[in-house]
Amino acid sequence: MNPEEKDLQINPVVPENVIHNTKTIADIRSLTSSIFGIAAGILGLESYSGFIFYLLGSSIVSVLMVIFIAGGKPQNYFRGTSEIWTLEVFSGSSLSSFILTWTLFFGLLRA
Amino acid sequence: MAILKFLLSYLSVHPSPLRNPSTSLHLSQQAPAFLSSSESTKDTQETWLIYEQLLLSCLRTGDDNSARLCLQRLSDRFGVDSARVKALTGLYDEATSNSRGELESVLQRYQDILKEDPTNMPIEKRRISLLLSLGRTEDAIKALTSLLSHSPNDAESWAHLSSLYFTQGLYQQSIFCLEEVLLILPNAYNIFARIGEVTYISSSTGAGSTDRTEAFEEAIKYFARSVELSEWYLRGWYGLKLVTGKLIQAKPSDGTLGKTESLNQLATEKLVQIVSKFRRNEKGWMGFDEAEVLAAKDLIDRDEQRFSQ
Amino acid sequence: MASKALISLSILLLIHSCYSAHEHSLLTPTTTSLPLDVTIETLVSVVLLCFGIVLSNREELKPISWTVWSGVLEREKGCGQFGYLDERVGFLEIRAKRAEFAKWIKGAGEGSSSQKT
Repeated sequence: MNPEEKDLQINPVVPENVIHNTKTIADIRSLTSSIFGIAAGILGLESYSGFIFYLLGSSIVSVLMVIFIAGGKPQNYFRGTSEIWTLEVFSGSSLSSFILTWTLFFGLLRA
Repeated sequence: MAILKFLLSYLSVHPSPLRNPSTSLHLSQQAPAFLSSSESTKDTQETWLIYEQLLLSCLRTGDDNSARLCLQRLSDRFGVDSARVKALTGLYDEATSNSRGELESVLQRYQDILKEDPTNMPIEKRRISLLLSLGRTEDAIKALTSLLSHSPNDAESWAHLSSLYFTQGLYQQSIFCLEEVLLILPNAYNIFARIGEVTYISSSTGAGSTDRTEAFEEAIKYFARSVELSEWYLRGWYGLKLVTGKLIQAKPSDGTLGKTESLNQLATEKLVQIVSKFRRNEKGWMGFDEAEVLAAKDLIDRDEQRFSQ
Repeated sequence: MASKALISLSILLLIHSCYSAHEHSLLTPTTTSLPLDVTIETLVSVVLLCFGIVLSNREELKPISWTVWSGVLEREKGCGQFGYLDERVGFLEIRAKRAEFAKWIKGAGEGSSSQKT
């Protein structure tokens, strides 16, 4: 048995709560990322600057989540310490919903 | 507030309403209002769960009319042949029987059902508890062991068998059953604490003093694991404090006592915290059983007196 | 409650800045950059909206450590994940429970009447 497994047996985790927390974070991400898309569209950002805007916004949300939702201690709520920072930022529905609303609003306001 | 929502939130705060009489009473008082409301006809999983809880609470408090209505609707929905409904019907019959003869006939009916369908677990469990109600503990234990031989993964049955052995004074067997539960559910902290309790109790009836200190050490291990798995488990901390205290008394001069003493101190701190927060009605600390908190308070006070003397 | 107010306010701001940007693009045919006030309004509304969304999810997370979580269940509800092993509803001895309840309600009745006198 490797040390990690042993530690998990001594201090078990509650799988339902892990799923619940991940879902909460994913919900916030997908909601905020579509708002970033709207803003990027309004501001008329193009190519790289739009993605930089997205990264900037996502890190602001991460900081807010660490402070207000996790009370400064993300390790109490997530298996990995980096999860709250990176979860759903580059993968999943968040990025695609950002691009969708970005192009939509860009097209609506500039065409 | 809508009664369905009210009942759901009540059940989420009191997940086991049968544990003390006041919650059962509270729940059963809501039953007539719920049964006559329009929300009681909703066909959702939640509604049927509420029906089942109301049925149990009403049976307990003696509101047999509401209980019959709940049972009626459950059997209309799931059919009288559903194993769970059959068991609930049996429960209703048991509760409303007036004489031993009637109970015997319920028992006969259980046996008939089991002849047709020997794998009907809920009915098998009902039969066992009815045997107990009739005072036939030996038969109940026999039936329970045979149930466990064909379905050894049922933790509830192991736990129940353990408590039956315990009432018979068969502590070794009782502990064995609890260990079986731990094989199925390795994180069950209340079972760890229970093993600690049974070990401690069996030692106080047992023989020589060396055996006793060994048993104390064994019990401490189990209590310690129990509170390691649940940081506010009152029974675990209580047992830890009690048994470490006894161990310190039993062998006052020994080099290994440092650990025991620090465990005792830690348990005392936790118990003091629980008692004071419970007494101040602090939010998030009201789940404890009042009698258990009083017992903890008593234990702390006794300990303090001994030190001051 | 405060978070809901914050969300509604910032959504209004966002809609307003969206409208302004639209007007701006109609009035200036060539693609010039957005006026500063609209840019600021957009950014402020987005930041406020993020605040609102995050704050509305406060206390939403549950501790993943078994020790902590079962401790919370014990102190709030008095019944953890394995409470059913203590209760054992399948083996409920309803007759004993009924008798216990009858005794309790009698005791409670006497208790309250003796308090009155």
